[in-house]
Amino acid sequence: MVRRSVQNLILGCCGLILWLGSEAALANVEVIGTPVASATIRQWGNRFTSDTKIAVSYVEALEEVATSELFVGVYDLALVEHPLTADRLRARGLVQFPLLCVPVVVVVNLPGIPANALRLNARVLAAMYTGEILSWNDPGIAELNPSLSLPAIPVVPIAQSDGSAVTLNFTRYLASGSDSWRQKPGLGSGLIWPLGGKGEKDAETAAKRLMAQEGSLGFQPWVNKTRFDLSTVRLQNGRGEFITPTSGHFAGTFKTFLAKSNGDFSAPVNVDGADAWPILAVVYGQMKQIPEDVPDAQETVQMLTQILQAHVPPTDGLVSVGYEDVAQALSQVQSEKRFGPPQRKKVGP
Amino acid sequence: MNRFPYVASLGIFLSTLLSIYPQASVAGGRVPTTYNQRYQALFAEQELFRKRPELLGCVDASRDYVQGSNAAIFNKLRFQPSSAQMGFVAEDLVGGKVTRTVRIQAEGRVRAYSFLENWETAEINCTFVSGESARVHLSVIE
Repeated sequence: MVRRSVQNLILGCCGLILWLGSEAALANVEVIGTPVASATIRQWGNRFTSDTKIAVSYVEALEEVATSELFVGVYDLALVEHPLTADRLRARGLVQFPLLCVPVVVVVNLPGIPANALRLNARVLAAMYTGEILSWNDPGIAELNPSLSLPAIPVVPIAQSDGSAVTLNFTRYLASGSDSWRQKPGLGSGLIWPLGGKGEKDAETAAKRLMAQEGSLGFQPWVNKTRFDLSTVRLQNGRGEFITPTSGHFAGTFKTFLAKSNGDFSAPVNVDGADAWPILAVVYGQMKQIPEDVPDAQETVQMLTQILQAHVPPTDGLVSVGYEDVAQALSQVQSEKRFGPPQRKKVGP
Repeated sequence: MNRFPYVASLGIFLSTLLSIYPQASVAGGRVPTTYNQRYQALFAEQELFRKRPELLGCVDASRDYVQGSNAAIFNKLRFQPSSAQMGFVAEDLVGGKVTRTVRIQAEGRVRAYSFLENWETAEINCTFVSGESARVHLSVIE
């Protein structure tokens, strides 16, 4: 009896070792990066795993940590909100490509004003955030909204200092319409705000304050509009048009941005195009050109290729790129370790 | 029997104790170490990474510059928690190219032949032009 049990135990252990060593258990795609992309990558991963039996994992991390972990070969794909410059990418041997777009909307808590009725632009928004405009019935706001009767309540600007590209690109939009904003607070994802000090710690906390306080004004990623039932406004783009925030406008603007962006400093703010939504943020993917773990890197490329070719929609109101937008970058990830040009064999003496 | 090594090592031990004792008594019994300074430097960098990732390009470029250039006035840089708060970023379109200027306050170890480390308040100015390498300028804030 005991002998049989020991035999079964040994067989079980051997089976476990064989399974752990098998291709199915070893194969996996390990992704690290921004929390914004977490739900989307998990959803894409589930879809890919059910098709191929290749496991996909996602770990949320800070920007620098994500890139460093990718560089040392712990992970296969890093997702960051702040892209690296071209010379830094070259130095680290990384490939970078845009993958997802996060629409950024301006939201208000104004009683009696329906969603998307209010119109604002960068100049007026900057004046509200610096304290030059203190009341909602200020002539500066009324000039943009002649058909609305604006309440005489104080403006409460709410901001977050969360290190995200959402915040950075919102300040970039403010700087595009106000010289005083560009010269003093400048651009930043963790600014000391002129009126709000350090600001809220993240977008969720800011959204909760926006819900609670009448007369408040803030900026949020598009997903929080439905999550917290916030009221959005129409924003003026680079061409002077007032645009209503819709999924169609976000997707169209992102496509225009991808087609027009040249150079590593292009930001998706005031993208030049008809009906272009003025503020977007982009999540970039980074991979090693010569991967530490070539099979895993190839599976990562396979996952992105399959998901993008099948047009699997991302979650949380994000917009994804098309496969054709990243195909060239993905082809740079080597399928075998080759360092430098191949050596020619010497023939003869 | 040569007792010199034992006597010498005892002497070194006693002199170390004597040098630590007054500082330890001033610090309320704790022996001063550089641990706190190192921890604070690490914390400051974490603040940069967490709160202002857009400054990291300049942090990396300035470190590369300091390590790679003999002409730099500092040979080491370190950051404080205030570096994240006081960092300034601006973008302009110059000659059709996006030019990003980043300014960070930090501390720089002055390049000098000395036993003592001389850390000064430093201003790091980075200029990034699309498609070009970063330009770094370091200066001492008086």
